[in-house]
Amino acid sequence: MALPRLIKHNPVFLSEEELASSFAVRQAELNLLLDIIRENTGSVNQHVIIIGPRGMGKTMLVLRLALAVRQDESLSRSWHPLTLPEEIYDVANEGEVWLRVLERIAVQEREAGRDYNRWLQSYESLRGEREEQKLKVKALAALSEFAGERNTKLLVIIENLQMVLGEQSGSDAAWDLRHTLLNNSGIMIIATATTRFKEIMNAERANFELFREITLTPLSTEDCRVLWCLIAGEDLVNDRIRPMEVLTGGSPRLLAILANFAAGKSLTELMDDLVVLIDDHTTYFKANMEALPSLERRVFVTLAELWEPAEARQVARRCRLDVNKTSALLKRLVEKGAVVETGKVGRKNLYQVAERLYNIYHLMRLSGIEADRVRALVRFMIPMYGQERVAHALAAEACRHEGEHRKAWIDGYREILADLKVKEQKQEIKILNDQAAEAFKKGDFQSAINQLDTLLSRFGDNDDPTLRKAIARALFNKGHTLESLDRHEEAITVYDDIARRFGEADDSALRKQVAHALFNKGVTLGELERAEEAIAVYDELILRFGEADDRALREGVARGFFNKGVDLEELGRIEEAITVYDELIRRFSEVDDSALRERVACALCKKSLALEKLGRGEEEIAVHDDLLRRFAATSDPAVRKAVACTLNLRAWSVYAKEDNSMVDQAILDAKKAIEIYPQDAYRHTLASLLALASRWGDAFDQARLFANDDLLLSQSPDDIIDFFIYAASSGKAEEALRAIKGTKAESAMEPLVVALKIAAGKTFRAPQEVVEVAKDIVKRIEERARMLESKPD
Amino acid sequence: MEAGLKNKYGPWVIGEDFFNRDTEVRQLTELIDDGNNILVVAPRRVGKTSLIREAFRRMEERNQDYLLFVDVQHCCTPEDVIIATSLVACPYQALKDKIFDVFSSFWKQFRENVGSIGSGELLEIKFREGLGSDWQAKGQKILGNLAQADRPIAICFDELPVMLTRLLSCSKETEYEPKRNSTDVFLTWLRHLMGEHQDKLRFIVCGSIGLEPILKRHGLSHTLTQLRAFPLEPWSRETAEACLNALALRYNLKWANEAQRSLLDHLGSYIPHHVQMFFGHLNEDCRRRSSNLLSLEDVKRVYQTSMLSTRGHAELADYEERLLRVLDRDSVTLALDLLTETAVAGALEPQTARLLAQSLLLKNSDAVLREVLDILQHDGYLEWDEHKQAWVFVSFLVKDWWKKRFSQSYVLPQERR
Repeated sequence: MALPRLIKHNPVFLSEEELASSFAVRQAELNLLLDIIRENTGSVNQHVIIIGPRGMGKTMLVLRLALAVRQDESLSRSWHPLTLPEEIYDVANEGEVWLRVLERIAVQEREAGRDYNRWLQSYESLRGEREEQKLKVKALAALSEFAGERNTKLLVIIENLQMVLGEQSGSDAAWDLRHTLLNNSGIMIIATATTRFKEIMNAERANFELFREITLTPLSTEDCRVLWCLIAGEDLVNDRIRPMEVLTGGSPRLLAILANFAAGKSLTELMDDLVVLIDDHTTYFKANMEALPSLERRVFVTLAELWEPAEARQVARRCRLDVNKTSALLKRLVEKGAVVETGKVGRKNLYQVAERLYNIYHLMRLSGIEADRVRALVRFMIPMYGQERVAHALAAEACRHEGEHRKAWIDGYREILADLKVKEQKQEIKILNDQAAEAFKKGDFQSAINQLDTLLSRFGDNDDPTLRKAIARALFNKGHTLESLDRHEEAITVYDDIARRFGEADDSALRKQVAHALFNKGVTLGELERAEEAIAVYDELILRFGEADDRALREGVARGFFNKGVDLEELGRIEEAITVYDELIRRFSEVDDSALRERVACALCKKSLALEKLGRGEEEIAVHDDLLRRFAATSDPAVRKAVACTLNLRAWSVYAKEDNSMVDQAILDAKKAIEIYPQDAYRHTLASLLALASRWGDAFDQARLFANDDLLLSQSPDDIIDFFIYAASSGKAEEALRAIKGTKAESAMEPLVVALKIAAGKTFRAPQEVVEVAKDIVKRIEERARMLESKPD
Repeated sequence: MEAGLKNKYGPWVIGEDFFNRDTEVRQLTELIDDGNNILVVAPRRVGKTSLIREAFRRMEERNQDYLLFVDVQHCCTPEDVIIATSLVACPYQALKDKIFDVFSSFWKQFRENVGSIGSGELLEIKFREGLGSDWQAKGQKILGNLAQADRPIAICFDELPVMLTRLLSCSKETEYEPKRNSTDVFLTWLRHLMGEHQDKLRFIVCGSIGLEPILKRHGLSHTLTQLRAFPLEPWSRETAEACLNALALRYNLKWANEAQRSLLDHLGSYIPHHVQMFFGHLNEDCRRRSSNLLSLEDVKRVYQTSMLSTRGHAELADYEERLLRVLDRDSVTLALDLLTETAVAGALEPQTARLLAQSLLLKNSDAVLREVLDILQHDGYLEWDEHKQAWVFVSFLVKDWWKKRFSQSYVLPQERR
């Protein structure tokens, strides 16, 4: 089967058959439009505007739509499609629009071999009408007459509506058109417009709201494949069609150009003809660029020069504009479809020209250097043919030239080779890193170190930017592994090496490694009880990265603050620790990031504990309240832990003060803490409070649970003992014995059990040393009982 | 008839395309039957035009009234309004004769030749020629004749506020006073007619911008005091849900868990146009993906990529432009700041509003602030939240549009010096 004839810029030249056969994508949009037309059976019609940049397929779509309506038995009875030419530069008001429609009727009737003279005469006569209002009325009257005779309605297709009614006519024209469209069910408009924002806005919001908008988005990978197959006769699978999609930004026009161009051509022919390709479409590229406002064009051209995805900051620096302004301009270009966002670095967007051929066009047209043209060629061909084939072709081409003319081709060849070598090295590094990770997972830390040392000795001094990240990561892994072997001093040396080598890097991945290294160094120093040095390291971390926008770096800074506060407390510098916690809270409390919110919650918690140490109870309570106010409703698990901790602390402070007036609320707090984050330390708090409230039955139910907790037994045995002392001193020794029976505490705390038996007046048998300790506990019970008796009610 | 509801937004709808609002149609009809002159009050896109057209359609079926729906948005002068009214009346033969009588002496030739002209649109030209400069007398006669018809007549002037702003707009300051006087004359004339032909002629006025703020701004509040307000609210959530179900039925789509709830949560206020538009984008998205399931992720994605995108900017520009019509330049700046603060902060507290007004160094900033806040509430941008004790956006969609557009360049009140 012969491939469809390709008419890139004027699909109107296609015959009906060619039009139908070359319409391969946008089927969903076509069906949607047909449905909307079918549903226009009422007193007022839904009109449509199709929005898309140049080359997105608007004209093709509306022409195909008109054909579909003519060929549909039911639709063709109700609707008569009339397509105005794409460029109607001589229309300045609504009346002139209808006049052109009338002209179109005359032309169509003539082409169909029907009597057209009447309509032609009507058109000719109205051309002499100077009064706008009269022209509009009379032209509409003529159209009504035509429609009435045919017992049909008019489907009028107007391209570039924004030019017709935005640039070329006044604002009143839009109101007039709206009135006509809302009060005349015999006319339906299908309009097209580019995404050029200004023109759409100038087309009057009053009218814009009237139109149902259909936006033509860039073609998907699958649609690119379908279109390529139709034009080039070649079915490219994913990894081969994807570069075409990227190169053209999914623009059907550019894809069609490329497909037609690339199909059946050899590499050498491609190289020769790329210049021709770019030259052929210079008018198209130039027109689109020149249509941009000057500042947007400047930003666009800068982005085209950069080639790789770039942040707003890079673009701003290069084109010497303010960053905020550049950012706003880039957003406008994104909205127009000229630029796309291709990812993020931290929170910052990366931008790239949407149609990559612009990059090639720019490089080839605007650079006078042959080497740049070769570079453009290479970039164009690699996605289609791969690096190795292109390298061969460049080498062959270099051999065909002599002297200076050979140089550019050789340079291109060398660049590819260098690129290939770097890829090999990256692969090797990855293997070594993976082997080290595998060894680490198995606990074979020394083997992990050996693998990493091999990697570092072979590639550690390599300056290639793409390898530096891998090297930094290997160093960090080595430091971390050394820590696992308790070789802390060596680990610190490695972290210092990371900071020295990569501390000045701009690359965000390298900056993160430096931040991690500093943090780990601080933690290691803390573990070595070198708190002062650890604090200095955290200070360095905060100084270097305190203003960073990147999410991971900010988290590192928050953790640095937190650990600094902890270390200050270790040194007894509580006030300073509180100041540090306050700074953490101030910096990050408004941030909508889960990890940072957790840090803030933990800082609040730590601050409250610090205040408690200083005996500043009122402020401690205020901090509890602040934390709960901020985070009580959160669903974030990490933050909820901090909330539970705070509730527990608040509840415990009531018990510590023996404040009976607050005990009910404190019990609720403790229960809530357990609900959020069940742990036996909180059950101990709850049990103590229930005891304070003389709800001994409930208290002992909780005691049975916490008395079985290994962590509590090992880390806070005094808390457990204290509870049972309280119980015994309140005359509940026997019940206490029943509660502790069968728990782990019974066997782990024999002196306590003996003491309870003594207090309950029961017999016992135990070794002497146990009895001695038990007697001390009994003394504490008696003392506590006296204290309780002397307390006023 | 296919089951479900057509996805149609932009133009007005009646009949099977008109969803719910039976209570409002009944209430409006009763008010008209009782001889009231009515002002339909509602923000844009709530469905005022559709409501009135649907009420007229149902009243038409009773065969007891003549219903004239006159769209005056394209009118710039009182003459235009009278001509538009005359054209709308012409399809009723009984009314057509009454109108033609007014022009009979001018049109002697024309009347006999009316059959030869062909299309009814050409009548407009002839009416304009016949009206000349004497619109008050001729207009009075036309309406007086119509009042003699065998049935009562209901006349709706749709977009009268827009017409008034066009009437009042001028490029030079010296033009303003004469234009204001002309407008005063026109409105006074209209009020007089409303009073003179009570019970026979019932007038309904509505528009996408508020009438009262325009009259107040130009010192014309005395001119149309006898209109009875008929407020039209956005849909209830239940109605919006029912609409979405009817739309999904028509296009054979299914709502996955939480998707419909999420759509409505995103909107916040169930303005019929927005509900239909959101569904329209979702429908389009499903077609492109060859799917018939509307999922929660689809709703979130389409909200961001379609509802808040360039379409959102155009809708937003419309909201901005409305303010320009009813407020002077300084007040517009304040209004934009108030709205942006509300969008960025989530709510506008009274003290912040005062701070913003003061920061603009306006004369009588309190009075200006009161006026602007009145208009922002009247026109449906903001509402007072008792719980927060602050103003909030009525529609979350409008808030999100506004925030996306303005938040980057906005300076917080406390940072202004």
